[in-house]
Amino acid sequence: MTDFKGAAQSWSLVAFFSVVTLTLLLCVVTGPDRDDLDEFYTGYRFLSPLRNGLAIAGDYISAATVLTVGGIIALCGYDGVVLALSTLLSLLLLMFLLAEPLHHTGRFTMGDVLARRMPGRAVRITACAVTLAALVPMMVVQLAGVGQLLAYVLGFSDSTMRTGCVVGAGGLMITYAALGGMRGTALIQILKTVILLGSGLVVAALILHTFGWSPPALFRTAARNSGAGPGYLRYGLQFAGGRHPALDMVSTQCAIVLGGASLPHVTMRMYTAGSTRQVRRAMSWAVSAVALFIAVMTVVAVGATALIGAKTISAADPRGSTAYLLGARAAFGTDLSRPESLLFTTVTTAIFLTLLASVASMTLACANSLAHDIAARPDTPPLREMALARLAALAVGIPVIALAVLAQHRSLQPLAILSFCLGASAIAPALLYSLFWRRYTRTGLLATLIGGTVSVLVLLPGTSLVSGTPQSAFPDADFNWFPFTTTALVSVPAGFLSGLIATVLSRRRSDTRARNRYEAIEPVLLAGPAQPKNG
Amino acid sequence: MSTDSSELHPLRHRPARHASPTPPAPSPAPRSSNWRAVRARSWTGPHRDLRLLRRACRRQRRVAALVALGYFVVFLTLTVAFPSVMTAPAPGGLPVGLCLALVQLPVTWLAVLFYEYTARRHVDPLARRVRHQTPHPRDEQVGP
Repeated sequence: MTDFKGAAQSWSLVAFFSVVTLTLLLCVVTGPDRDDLDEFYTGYRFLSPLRNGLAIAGDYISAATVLTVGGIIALCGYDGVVLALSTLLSLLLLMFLLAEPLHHTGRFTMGDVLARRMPGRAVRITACAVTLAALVPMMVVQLAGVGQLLAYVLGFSDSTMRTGCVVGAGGLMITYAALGGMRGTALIQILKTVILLGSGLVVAALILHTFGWSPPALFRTAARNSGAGPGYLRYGLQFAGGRHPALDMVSTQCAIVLGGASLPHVTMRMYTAGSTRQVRRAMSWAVSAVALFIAVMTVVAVGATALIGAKTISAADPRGSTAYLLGARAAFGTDLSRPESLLFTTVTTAIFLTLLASVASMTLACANSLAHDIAARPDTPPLREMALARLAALAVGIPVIALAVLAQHRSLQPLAILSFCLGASAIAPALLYSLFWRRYTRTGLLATLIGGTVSVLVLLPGTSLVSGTPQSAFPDADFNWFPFTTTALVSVPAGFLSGLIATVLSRRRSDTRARNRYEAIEPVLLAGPAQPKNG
Repeated sequence: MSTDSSELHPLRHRPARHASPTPPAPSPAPRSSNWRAVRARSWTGPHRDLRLLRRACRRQRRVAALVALGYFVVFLTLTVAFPSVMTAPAPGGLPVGLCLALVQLPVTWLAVLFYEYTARRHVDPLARRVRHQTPHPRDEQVGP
């Protein structure tokens, strides 16, 4: 029931190649066709709120979310559901707190938002460095995941083939980002969200149908087949081995809630909407789409455990990364008719597209930041800046591919956690302070970004994710001293406090200046630009 | 790098703003006591609109974020600190905790609808007025 032999496999191969061809074509056709920076960086603000919302949702539902959270739901039940909910909450908070101010003050990158309040090269360089530090690990996770997924779906175990897949997918992601810009990647994201949601809904309906449309029956069967009994339906399975399971759970949720939506590849979509109302409406669509997907993912992953049992899932992958696929496969029963295998192929294609699209968006976010915040000067002509952005996509992409090849046989969890913790400890405090605190100073901003980043980078290597247990990235070494699996419980307060302290210390010199600057941008921050952005 | 218009045209000092560099005597409850004083100083005009907008935005943001975050924090606290409450069976046959978790999906959707409604009703008209009163349209940042 869990093998992908025969028809499904060849269908998958055909589907993957068609997806690659189609999306490349889309990128070439819709890519920016003039030497207009706005068009390259923001997609010319051409998207209607619904499409923009789907693109935001596409950016937000990364492959890491689908595979990792799906696995945790399937194997740990309740803990996984809570994790999925905090993912949703993060996007909701982005909508309530940051979306409109970001849209009003930002132009292309996070550096623009921060530099609008505190102009200066140091701010831009630091913002770019934090953007890279937060996104590169996430990209490595996803690229390495491509190799794993393709090996699993297409049924080869050869290490060279896997490396080839990683390199090929990496090449694709650079091409998408460089050719398509925001416009091309937005279309790919929309396509991906629609396919992912559509196929997921069908599978979830099939699974619910199997259990007589009764979620309690589904959860009870899953609990029985999970090997944990009632423990599956309450908290505690995920962090059972840790020293402080309760605090560990709080720390992880804190990292996801604060970090998930503040990562630059998500916030960069805020700049692409036309007016305040459009950005709000787009976020409504995005939150609705993500909420729907979380429901679908919960049903499919719990269904996987209910139908084939937790043992089979953890045999396929100890962390359950393939649970979503296994659940979809099991929903169709043992024998696949032709339409069923076509539907199943749609599911695998959706996951494949998710992997490709999310790395492409992250590459674009990094490349934009490198080109716009660091390389380009105020007098750089637009054409040159666009060329710089394309080169930057290459400059980011190649090291990421190399890292993914190196990391593909290790546990990737610490890298994903690193991204979320950086988002929560450095980016979220910096954005919140600089958009809402009128006395915030430049020194404070730099201290927030650097303090948050350093605290994560110092603490994370000490966690049990990196060393000390058989599931760690370095199972043979043991330099585990930090008692939690995520650093957020310490590093988030560290990020906020360093900004607070540095602001208070530097206040005497720059207090008046900081407040004057805030006063100057406040009407725009609250009410939006006097004329709607139109590129 | 941005060249920002505000550097070229710094705003005049506005004594009516409660965020002015020479604040009134600090008071323990700035919102309630300042409110009347500021209101008495300028009753109409752009300052008042901006102030109203600031207040409306702040209220909307605070309420929305506190409700969303509050629900989750309470849920998480119950989960971690009072597992017995969360494992008691709910009417549907599932534990209370899982029900509370699943209910969050429709609640999120309601929260989004409510947020859109209040924003359109209370914040947008003020924002429009402030936008129209801003003397210069935002000079687009030139160059990168």
